[in-house]
Amino acid sequence: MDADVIVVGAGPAGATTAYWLARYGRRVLLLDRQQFPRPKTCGNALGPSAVSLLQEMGVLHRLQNENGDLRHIRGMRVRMHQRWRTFTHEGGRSGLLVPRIILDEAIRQQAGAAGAAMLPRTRAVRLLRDNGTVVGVEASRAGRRTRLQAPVVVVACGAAVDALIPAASDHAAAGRGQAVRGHLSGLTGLTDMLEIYTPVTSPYGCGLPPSYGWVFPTGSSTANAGVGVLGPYPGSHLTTLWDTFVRTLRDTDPRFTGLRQEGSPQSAPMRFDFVPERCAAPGLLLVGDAAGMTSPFTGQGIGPAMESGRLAALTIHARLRPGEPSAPDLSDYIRSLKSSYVGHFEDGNRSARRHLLVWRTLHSTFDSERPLFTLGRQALLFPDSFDEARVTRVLDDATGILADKSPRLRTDLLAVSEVLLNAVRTDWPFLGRITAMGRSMPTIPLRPALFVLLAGQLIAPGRAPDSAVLAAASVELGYLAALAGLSVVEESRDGDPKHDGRLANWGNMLALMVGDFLLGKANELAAQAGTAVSQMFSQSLATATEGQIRHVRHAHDLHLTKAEHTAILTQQTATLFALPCKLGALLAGATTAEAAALEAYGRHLGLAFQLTEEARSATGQPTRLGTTLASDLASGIFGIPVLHVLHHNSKLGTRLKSLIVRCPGTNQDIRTVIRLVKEGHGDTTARTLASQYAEQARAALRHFTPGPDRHAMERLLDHTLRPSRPLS
Amino acid sequence: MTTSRTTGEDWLACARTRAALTGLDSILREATAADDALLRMMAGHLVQRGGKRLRPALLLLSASYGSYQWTRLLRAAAALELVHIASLYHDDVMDRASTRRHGQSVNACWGNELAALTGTYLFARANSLLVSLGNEPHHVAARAFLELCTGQLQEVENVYNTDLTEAAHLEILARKTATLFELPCVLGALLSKAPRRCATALQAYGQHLGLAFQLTDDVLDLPGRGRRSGKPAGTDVREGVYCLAVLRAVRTGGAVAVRLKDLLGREDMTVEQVAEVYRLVESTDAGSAVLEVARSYAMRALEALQVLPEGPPRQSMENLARHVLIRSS
Ligand SMILES: Cc1cc2nc3c(=O)[nH]c(=O)nc-3n(C[C@H](O)[C@H](O)[C@H](O)COP(=O)(O)OP(=O)(O)OC[C@H]3O[C@@H](n4cnc5c(N)ncnc54)[C@H](O)[C@@H]3O)c2cc1C
Repeated sequence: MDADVIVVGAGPAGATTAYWLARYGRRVLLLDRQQFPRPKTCGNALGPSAVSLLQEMGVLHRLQNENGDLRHIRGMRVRMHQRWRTFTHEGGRSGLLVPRIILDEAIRQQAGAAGAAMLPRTRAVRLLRDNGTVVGVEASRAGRRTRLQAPVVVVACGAAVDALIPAASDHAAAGRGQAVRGHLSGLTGLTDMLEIYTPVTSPYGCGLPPSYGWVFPTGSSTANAGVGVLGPYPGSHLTTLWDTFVRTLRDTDPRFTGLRQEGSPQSAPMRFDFVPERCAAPGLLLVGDAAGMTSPFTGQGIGPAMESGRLAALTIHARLRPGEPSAPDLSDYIRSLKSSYVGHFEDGNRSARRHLLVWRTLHSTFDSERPLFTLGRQALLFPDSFDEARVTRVLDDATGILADKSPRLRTDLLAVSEVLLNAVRTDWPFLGRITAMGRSMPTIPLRPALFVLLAGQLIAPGRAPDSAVLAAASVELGYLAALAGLSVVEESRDGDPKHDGRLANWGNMLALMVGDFLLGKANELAAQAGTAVSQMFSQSLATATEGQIRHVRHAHDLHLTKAEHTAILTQQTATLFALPCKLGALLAGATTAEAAALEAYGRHLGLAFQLTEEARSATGQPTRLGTTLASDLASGIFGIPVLHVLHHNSKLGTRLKSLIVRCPGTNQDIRTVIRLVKEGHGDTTARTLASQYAEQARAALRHFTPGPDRHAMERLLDHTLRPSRPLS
Repeated sequence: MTTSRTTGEDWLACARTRAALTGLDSILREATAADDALLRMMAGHLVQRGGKRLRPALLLLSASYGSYQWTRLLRAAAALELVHIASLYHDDVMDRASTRRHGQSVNACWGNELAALTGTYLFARANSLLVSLGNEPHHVAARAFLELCTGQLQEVENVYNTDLTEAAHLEILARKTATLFELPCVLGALLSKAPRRCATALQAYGQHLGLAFQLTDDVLDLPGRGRRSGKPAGTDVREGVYCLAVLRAVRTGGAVAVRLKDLLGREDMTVEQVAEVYRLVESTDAGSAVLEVARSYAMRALEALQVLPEGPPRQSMENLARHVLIRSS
């Protein structure tokens, strides 16, 4: 044996794998056909998760020592259909721009320092196999062939992987792309934000694969720029596409009128045909671009390359026993890829088609503020902001309130998440991503599953029964379905015959189909959990939908009374909180009286929650539902604070009314609305009501003997009334 | 993305079923009742306009081979009709259809948002009816609804895909259309505890019949075949939903196929190009070949019925399958 592990390719994926293996004390041989440092055609942008990986490995430190200040990136601006959208890294995190000739060399050196042996200018020619198991590689160095043997080979040779592992024929074209990168100077107005332009208008019209362009500022007047294409593209067309992009930048953006090209552009292949199952075989693992792990929407692949390298090293270290004759079982790697990259990249050979569909939806809903599309946009364009850390933080938030209950609850909540993800992943992996993110979105501030589990605990302490886990997952999917359903919008139907030729409304189509699909899954999970669960599920669905319908039809209704408004909330919001409590009680074997008490708790908590949010909105704070006073007024949604002033104070009411009917748009208008509401005690009225409902919820809990479980539920009430700052 | 426009009621040779169907209205009315007046109106919008009640009829007929309680059967039948109507509400929003069953569509009257929500409301009510029948029938139905939604997603996933294989296309049709034919047959057999032989036969019948219906409709809906489907001609092709005749024409080879490949697969087709696509498709024998496929499914549906005892229920189901044979020839 020449080593414990041979790693082919010393880019970010391979060098990271080698680094961690060496740290674990494994003998690693890292080969690359090139001499390092070497350049790589790239946009050079790293997201915050890649930055944290670099930090963990000590590479960040090395980079700072050797290169001084690094170029920090605060976020990304995306331009689509004449409109910019901004995505900023939160919580003090930032990205970096580092030339690959520097970055790759730093990671590689760190691997060497950790003890990995490097063989430069050594090309792997083919994999050596013994009865189907990979046992080494045949390498070529300075024209001489050698056979190198090891129990595990990690292939990290980037997009050139076909030379070592030929693609199955049906994979040949799907999931491949191309990118051109050049350098621009003479620019003005650059900031510390990356810029993405999509689509890049092709001079060849529609019918070609979608494309995007980027301008990544490398200095105050220089940028790394390029275009990427999601599919096969004739080479000459690619150059023309780049020229068109540069020309459009110069001709349409005043910041870029003095634009100059430095040197000639370079092109390189990209791969986004990631399929977790393909990444492990006996004696063999695939990492980074070799595994097709580049985002087809922004072209980012360095972070995933490093992350997969780390996961590969973890699996190898856990499974490889020195001196054992049989090949180690490396299938854990597939599992960890699946859970880290659920729907991040799509899987299966249908991926290319799905990319297209998602692309169309992204474009036709770029203007939409509806929840499904806001969520989807984030997932696609700025996945870094929704990494697992964030999901966990949100879990922590809820479980943190519950102090001593948290370990038990955490386990159960994770079990729910697993059911949830498995339910959507196989058919439509991208939804897995949305589902994972939906949990971390403020739109679902208190996880329904939490109520199922807590209510169950109160009745029967101990592990939640499987049926409760299923029911909890069902409810969460149901709420996501509702969220998707809420994303259906009106279209201007002006009877203009020209519009008969309009393109499909991908937004409405997807909202309905995804909504129905999620609802179908939720319903099926409920059926698995039993008749009683299904029954409650259907009833609550009908009630909440009826509430939502009344909500929509009373939009812009200035005559809606406070009582009517509260009745609507009782049907709509309160039902959504009552259902999980009822289910939890039922599945833990509660008596009728106990179930009724828990239902009352949920219902009143729901009302208290909603009214607190209305008060927040009316005083100009953003709500945990992601809405603002401006957005509420624009969609004609008047909460208790506004209704109170309209109906109970004739002088202020008249002024408020005249302001509202002309659809206040300016900040000035909004400030006036806030002032009028305050003067008329609208917000305090809502808060008082909220406390009253919270008291009723508390009273319902008195049905149960005091104890840590009851206490946890009481603390949730406090949390509802005095929300901690929205999570960042 | 809608299902069959079918047939009159003359196929229904079973007097008992015909009579039972008249009892359906009151259950439907009850199930769509709501406190909110507008919701009541929206929910009842299509229910009141009747329609063929094809799925309820199939369910009742399929229950003829065991013993049952009428009330339970009728509840199941009503539930399936409601799910069918719910799916029409959602389809019409997606297709921007302004008419349905000789009147305005719900979305045309009350807007997309309310139409979509009302569809979901109807689904919830239907589901409650199904749950009341017990866990197994509900679970069977729940799985079928999921199939349907999966089929729809698969269909949009494959828009503008001229390389979609025939097998994959048929799988999509089986899921998104045939499921709602198969389910009434399966539920009818299940609720009447029909012998396994009959249940299997009924399921096969439902599935093949569904495919036969859909394939026939797709060909007869091609512009120039003189049938008005409610949608503006050519919408499907422009939106990238290629029926089997189009997919087959692309595969015929020769100049026609080359030209079709050129025209299809893109989103910016002009009216002239759409018309040219249909002319090209008509110039091949793809249309009649697909009708042939439809007929073979109808034949298989008929064959499946052979194991059932003769009588008015089986006679009715045979009539339905023969009706497809006639339309497709
Ligand atoms: C134009 C362009 C712009 C991009 N911009 C960005 C960006 O801004 N941000 C981002 O995150 N991602 C970007 N990407 C994607 C990113 O470049 C890749 O995802 C990343 O390089 C993957 O790292 P890797 O280690 O898997 O492969 P690579 O970096 O390609 O490294 C593979 C290594 O293997 C070696 N090798 C290949 N074959 C053999 C062999 N047979 N034997 C031995 N050695 C071999 C090569 O010499 C190379 O050093 C861009 C890609 C392109 C094409």
